[in-house]
Amino acid sequence: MVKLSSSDGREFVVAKEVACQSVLIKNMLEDLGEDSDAPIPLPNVSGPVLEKVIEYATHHKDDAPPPPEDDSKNITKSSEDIEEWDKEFINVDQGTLFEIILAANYLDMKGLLDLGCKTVANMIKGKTVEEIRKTFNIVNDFTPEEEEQIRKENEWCEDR
Amino acid sequence: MSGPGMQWRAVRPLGSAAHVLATDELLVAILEQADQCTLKASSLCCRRWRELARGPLWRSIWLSTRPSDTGCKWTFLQRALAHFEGGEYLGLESLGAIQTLAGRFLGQFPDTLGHVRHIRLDLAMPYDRTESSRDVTHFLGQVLAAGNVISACVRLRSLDVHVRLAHRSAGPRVPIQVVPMHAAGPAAAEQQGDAEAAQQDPNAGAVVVHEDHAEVMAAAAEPTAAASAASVPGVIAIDGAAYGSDILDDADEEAVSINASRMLVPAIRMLEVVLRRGSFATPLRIGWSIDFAFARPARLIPTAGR
Repeated sequence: MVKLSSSDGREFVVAKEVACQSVLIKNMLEDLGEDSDAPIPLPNVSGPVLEKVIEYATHHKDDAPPPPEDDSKNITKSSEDIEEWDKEFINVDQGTLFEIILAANYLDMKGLLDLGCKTVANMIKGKTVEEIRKTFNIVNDFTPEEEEQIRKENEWCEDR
Repeated sequence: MSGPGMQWRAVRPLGSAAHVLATDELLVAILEQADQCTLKASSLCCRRWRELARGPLWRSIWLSTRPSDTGCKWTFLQRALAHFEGGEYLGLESLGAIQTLAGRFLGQFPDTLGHVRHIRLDLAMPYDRTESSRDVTHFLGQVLAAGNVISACVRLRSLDVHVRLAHRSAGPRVPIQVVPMHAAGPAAAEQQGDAEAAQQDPNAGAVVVHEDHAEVMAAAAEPTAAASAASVPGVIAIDGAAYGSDILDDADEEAVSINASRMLVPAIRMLEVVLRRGSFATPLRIGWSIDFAFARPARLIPTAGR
């Protein structure tokens, strides 16, 4: 078993195979050695978010490791292909969703990071430019001429 | 979550959302999951989002020599050729326009083709039973134009070349069409194996790693199960709508096979020459496949040298 310590001082005891879903923790465990009982500090992850992360890692502990990124292959990513369990898991408020993304990035958990990013991509999907700007407080720094040029450039890309 | 139940609220500039969206790596990870429409909208939000959306937006394109009546929309090269060349058919007089096509496109839209990582190229050959030198020239012109564009994609990682027959069009021919791979449909999912031979042209300095097009020749000698299944003459009945109804018997097949074969080898050679002149940043993986609905590959390839 492995002890994990969140930023707010909560401790979680989890199976090693669950903890090692995180590449960061896996590397730390290798550095610390098998015999260390010291809790692993995770100062960038709060207790509630770490709890969610552990829930995800536990459910996916038997998954095959993700293949390495190979951008020479044309693999079309889709924000639609989310498993039912994952959909339920990630059905959280926006603040928690973004905290999960930050935690997944910090902990180096590709599957969880992809899930969070897909969910945000789904949130943006179907929105107009103005709606995206408003949602994320983005300031339009284009001149009208630049916007027109980008629209023309985008016309050369076909919709999926 | 997406969907009608999702409640929306504006995200304040502080907090985890702002942190995520302010991190280029994470914003790119989100955009990588978005569809083309979302990417286009995102690219119009602000300069930073535009720069980060460009990569996923231009990651894959599909070059095809199919004529217009296959239902595909006019896109990239089709429009580029129409814009820069204008003629319905490509001939010798089009050579200059073809060779400067990518350069002129990049002049107008810089930093676009440089983001392309994967290209699917459909070499869809005309299949008339009577030989037409104009069709041959036009087809090879399209191949050269495609090669010119491919060479301009300096960060290209993989190229899948699919050789097949074009749908006979009663209407005007469209020179070439390009759409992103995401629109390619089920066939886009075809992937090539990992066994490649590496070839390097010492003069050009471009490294090309590819599945030797001898694979095509090998397929001719010993058609694979998949190729055989797709190439029995009976398939013409199934694909009649797609391939037209003017191929009726073995004599037709023979005539079409000879004409198609005469174009295939020069097209492959032309592509090789153009690609070796390219300066790709990383080794280029090239995969070849051949798919003729009505004729066995063995009937096509040996006639190529006639």
